Amino acid sequence: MTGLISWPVARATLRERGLAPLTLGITLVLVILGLFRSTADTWGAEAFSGFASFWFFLLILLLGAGLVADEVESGHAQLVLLRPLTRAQWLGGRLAGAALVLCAAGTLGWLVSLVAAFTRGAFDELPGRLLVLPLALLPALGWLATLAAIGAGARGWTNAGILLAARLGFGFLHFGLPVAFPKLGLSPLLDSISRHYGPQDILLVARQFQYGERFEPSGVLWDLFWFFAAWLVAVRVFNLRELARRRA
Amino acid sequence: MTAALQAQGLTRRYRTPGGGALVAVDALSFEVQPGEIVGILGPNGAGKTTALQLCLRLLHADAGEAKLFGLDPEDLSARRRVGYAPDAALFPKSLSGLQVLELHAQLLGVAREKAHGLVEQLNFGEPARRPTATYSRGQLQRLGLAQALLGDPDLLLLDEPTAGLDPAGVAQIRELLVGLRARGAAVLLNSHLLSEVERVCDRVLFMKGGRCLRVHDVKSGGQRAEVRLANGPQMAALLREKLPEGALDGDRFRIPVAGPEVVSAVVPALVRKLVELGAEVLEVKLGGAELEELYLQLVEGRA
Repeated sequence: MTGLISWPVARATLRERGLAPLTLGITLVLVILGLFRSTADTWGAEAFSGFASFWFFLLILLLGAGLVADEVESGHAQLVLLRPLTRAQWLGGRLAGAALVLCAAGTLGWLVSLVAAFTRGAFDELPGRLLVLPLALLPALGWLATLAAIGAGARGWTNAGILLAARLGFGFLHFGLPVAFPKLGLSPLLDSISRHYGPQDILLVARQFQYGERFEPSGVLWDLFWFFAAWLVAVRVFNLRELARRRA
Repeated sequence: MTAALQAQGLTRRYRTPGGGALVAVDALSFEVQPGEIVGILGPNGAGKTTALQLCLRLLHADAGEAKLFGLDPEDLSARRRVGYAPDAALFPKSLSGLQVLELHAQLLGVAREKAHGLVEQLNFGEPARRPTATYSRGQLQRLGLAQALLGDPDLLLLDEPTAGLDPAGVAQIRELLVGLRARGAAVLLNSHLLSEVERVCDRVLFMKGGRCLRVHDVKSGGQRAEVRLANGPQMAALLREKLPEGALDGDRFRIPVAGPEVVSAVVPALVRKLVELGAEVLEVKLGGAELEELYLQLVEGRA
């Protein structure tokens, strides 16, 4: 992984993003939600579903906003890139640092919800509860990589705005168009696009596993693909942007 | 010996909003040898900063090329040996100066203790523990310099390193540069402080409009004699005719002297000749040519 990620850059990003007051605040909210929403009847996704999913997505946006642009626009990226490391390693380091913060915050919320569930007597659902964590983190990492890919070409924190606008815009179309034009029968088409429009929510797999149902791994594979593809696009776009800037 | 930095015909044009092109650096060629400090002087917009960035490939040249230790500037082994302190460097605001230095130390494979030692050496101990968002211009400048010095670079490129520094800081940087030269490092220094350039540099590049007007050898060339005359104005025509290489400025007649080894022979002969011509000599001074004068002559076009 050293060829893809600069770990000193990852550590510095972890420090920079992880200790930001807003990151700490949202992590605290996730912990509180995990603690109080977890009951013996729930199945383990309390730190990531419902109201908590809003906060978790907010955390992703916050960690990814300006992840590339902040450093480039301040000029510090230029200094770092004069060191013996490649642009791909630098970008990999920035992404890995933010990803570690995301994983740490998610894990903390999940751990609290797990302990809370145990104290309330939910011991029999352990495998499903354990599976929740990677299934919640994988799409989150996919969104983070998407933010890095958009941010490799966008200014400041506009990458977060673009992603939010794209998600809300598609959500509006997905639910609005079939209602506005029922005769066109757009629902199947929009559903099909939706299944490939960004990383998918795959928490259901944990539930299917928990209850012995047949589970569908395509969502997991898609999210894995999305994460690495977005990372690759981020590296490519950043390279092109840097070369264009040097030639401009 | 391989030059630490070799620039050959570097040219860089910027597109202007009107669709034209502005030549920022025009066919610039020079080299910096190990153990040498070379200064770049020129007015604002002369292309000094662009020249530094072209040398490091932070900008791509439209023509020409730069080599660091005979290698491409993007070669990782060359980068390991180079330090660069830009003008007005900025750092992640939430990290402390020490954390920034630790990051750069790790990237260079240098022990963290080196960062701590540099902080002390640059009298930067207390601010280094604060977030860089709280730094003054001078403190940012010191941090920029400290990161450039990590890893004991063999080539250091400094862009206005004394801007925003107090006099003690300026003196400290001067000592530091002299120390670097003593250990064989090469330095390319872009500065507006002529006196500092004159004190530490071995050679100076005068730039204007992206072109190198002249490379001036500070240490061995440029010696001159200045003779104060009681009857200077009356001698003007005669001196112009008999000693055309000199220049009369009021009551002071200044004339270049080839090199230190011949000064002892040339100066008495000069005084003898002036007396023979009827000049009343009041005072003779010998010293290095003032860079300011040369600067005004070359860059501003003043006689």
